Amino acid sequence: MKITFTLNSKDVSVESSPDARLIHILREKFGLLGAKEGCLQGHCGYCCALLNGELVPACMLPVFSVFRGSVTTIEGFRETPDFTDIEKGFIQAGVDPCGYCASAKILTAHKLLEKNPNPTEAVIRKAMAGIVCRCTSYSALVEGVKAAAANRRVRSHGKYR
Amino acid sequence: MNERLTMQKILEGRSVYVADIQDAEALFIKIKRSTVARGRIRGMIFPEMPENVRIIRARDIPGRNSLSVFGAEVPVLSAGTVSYKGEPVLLLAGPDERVLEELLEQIVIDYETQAPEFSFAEPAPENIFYTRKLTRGEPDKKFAQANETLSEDFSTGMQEHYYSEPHGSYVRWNTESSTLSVLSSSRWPFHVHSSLCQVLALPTALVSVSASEFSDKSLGGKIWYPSLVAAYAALAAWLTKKNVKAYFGREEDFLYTPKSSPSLLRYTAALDAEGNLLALKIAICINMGCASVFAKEISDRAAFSALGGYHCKDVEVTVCAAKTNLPPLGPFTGMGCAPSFFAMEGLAEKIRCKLDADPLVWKKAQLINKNRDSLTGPMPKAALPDPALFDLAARISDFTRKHSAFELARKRRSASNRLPDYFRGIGIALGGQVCGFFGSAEEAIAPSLKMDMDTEGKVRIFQSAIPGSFRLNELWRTVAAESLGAKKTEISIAPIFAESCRDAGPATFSRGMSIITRLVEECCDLLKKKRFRNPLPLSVSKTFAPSPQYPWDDAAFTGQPFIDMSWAVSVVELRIDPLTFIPEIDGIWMAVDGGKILKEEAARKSLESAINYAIGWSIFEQVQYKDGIIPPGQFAAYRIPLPCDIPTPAIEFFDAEGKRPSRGISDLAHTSIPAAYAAAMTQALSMPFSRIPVSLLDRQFSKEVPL
Repeated sequence: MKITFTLNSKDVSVESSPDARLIHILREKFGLLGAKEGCLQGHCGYCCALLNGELVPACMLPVFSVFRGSVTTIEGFRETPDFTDIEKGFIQAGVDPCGYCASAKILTAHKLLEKNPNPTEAVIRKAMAGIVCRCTSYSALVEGVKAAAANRRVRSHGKYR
Repeated sequence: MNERLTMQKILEGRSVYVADIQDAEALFIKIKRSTVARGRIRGMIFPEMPENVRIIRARDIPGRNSLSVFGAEVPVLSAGTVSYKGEPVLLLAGPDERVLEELLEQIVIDYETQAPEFSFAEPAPENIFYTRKLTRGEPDKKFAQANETLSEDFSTGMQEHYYSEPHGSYVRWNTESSTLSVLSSSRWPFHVHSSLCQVLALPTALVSVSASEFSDKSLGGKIWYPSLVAAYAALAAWLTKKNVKAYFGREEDFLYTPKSSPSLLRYTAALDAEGNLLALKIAICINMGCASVFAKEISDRAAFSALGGYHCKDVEVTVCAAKTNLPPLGPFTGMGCAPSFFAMEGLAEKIRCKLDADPLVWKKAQLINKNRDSLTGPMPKAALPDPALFDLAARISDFTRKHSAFELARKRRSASNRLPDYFRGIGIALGGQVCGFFGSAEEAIAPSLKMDMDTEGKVRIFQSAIPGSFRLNELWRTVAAESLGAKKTEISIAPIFAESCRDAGPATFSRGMSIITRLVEECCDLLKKKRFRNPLPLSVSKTFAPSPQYPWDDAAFTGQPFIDMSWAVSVVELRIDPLTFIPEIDGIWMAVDGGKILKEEAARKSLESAINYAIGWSIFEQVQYKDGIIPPGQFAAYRIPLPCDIPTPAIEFFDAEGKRPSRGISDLAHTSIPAAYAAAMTQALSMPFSRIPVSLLDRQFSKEVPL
């Protein structure tokens, strides 16, 4: 089956069995390796991508579900100023995620900040609970998201507003 | 690559692991695993195999069918007998993973089964890998004089490493040179290298090994098992003369790779008429699974830590590492020491409660010190637990006030029979960490470091340990830069396997911090001295040597068996909803004595990650085998602590600016927090908890809790 969709702002199509997992299509057909294959049960969050702007576990989505949709992976998202805010925030706070969960944490932070530009610690902790990884200190992660939020606010509204 | 560039690369999703290697020509490996826990293979029936699929059995191995890991031998493929469910029997190598999986299903193996042994409580002599027995003083005499004896059975569960990168290896067959280039998820590439040369019977020059660029923090699981996976890939590459990629899916990794060793501990105390401790008899049994990997190391650590940080003159300790028909079990954070600390702290808490003594006063009074020896004899002053650690922990957590308040509430509750808003408890416990391999193992490894300074004053460090975090590499560069008065940009670290690098052993057991950091400092000192007299370029090297002051006697179990020791006192405060009985952690505090803290922020982060591990082990993480296999569903249900489960811990470092050398600290959470958590649960619910994970499901709490 030929499936067409938008991937990182480019129109693409792929010949695939419709029930193939999106994560496998992204990694194997398009060589997008930022999202990692984790538990394949929608549990760990390592495979997160954005589908039509919403955070989804790419391991649980059959590829036909992205038909005519828009998929953004970390490879596309890293070209945006939103990514730069988060990257800077994480580096400022010393967040050191592993390469397995990093893209999921970045995309989760982005979705959180879209909905809540100034999240509290409790909100950040709850949002980040969807990524099951031992790699980094949780308090640094909280600080990282707060710093990213501050960066985004400054970029959007200027430093003194 | 410096810290910032590494971080950027990770955050941008550019980090590459074995699973990310794109090679359309590479063959895949699938493993046919044993379905019986113990038995002999009578025969195998194979379906018709496609031409491009290769069957690989033990008899195809050109060299030795085993990996050597610190004296233990682990078979690469079954040579006719199997000793656990999931043991690799044969490999299929081919270009299509799905075809291989279908073929695996069609292979029939006929077994002559034997009765498996899954219990390690009272192992038969033939199921004992290693025993350590020691007696100090006259415990039998003291038990005969005792007014009362107190006995408690403790147990600790099996924890999953849950590392980020599952095991994997990619092997490139170099046709022109007939050599193998191996990429492994290992943190000990030297072991991968020596193992492959042994298995393939190849000269060392024909095999080169590199490790995944981005390190994995859960190092205990990456010590030796990656060598086995690399052996599969290399074997297939060597036999087919093609590139091969072998990697486990996360579920396969969960089901068949080593976990931490569970333990059973029986502590029996002899008490005098006032309830004071006279003597102790301790029996510890550790489940090693089917292989004796690190059996001695784990057992000796358990024996050394049997009294925690406390003194008792008359003691008998027996530690036994048992064989069962489970996959190989073994190293994990706090290995060997953590169960002993948990049990000793649990017993201490029980005796203290019996005496109705203040926890701080009672525990401080029992500590080893310069006049009160540890189990192995006198300890260097710098390695002793400082009683002030208890005061620091109590101060930052407001322990004394809270403990008294909760105790009062508990007593009033018992009297009034009224349901409280919450059951509340707070616990305090001491934990310790030995740094480096135990006993004379470090002497045998003799880790060394070389440092070169070129004519422009640029320094290159040669060492082979891959740290758990790239931050440690940065730390070594900082230490060298500060010591030499150079810019950090002038200091670089050579890749492992570079010229002049020699095997320094695995980067575990805090060896990176406690050994390599010291060797960096010593090399810098040497370089500074030489610089005055000799022209550039210069080269210096240092090899680690154990302290001559307290030489280790393995037979007598006396002396100083480790490089150094660090200590921590942890406090955990929790509340339990009387309707749901779900515990909620209100606070975690740690007072840490890790010598000089070189980078406080990094140390804090390292400890915080370690606390997550410890809380997981304390509350809910437990792998449970049923009939020798992990039942379906447990992989999906296995839970680790999430950001919303744990409050930000408060960590204070003791004498962080002092002159004492830096030591490893990352095991301290595992040795202190579980006991503090259990003590808090005990206070909250007025019932003892002697098992990890601490679970209310073990208790008939509806009958036992005094509401």
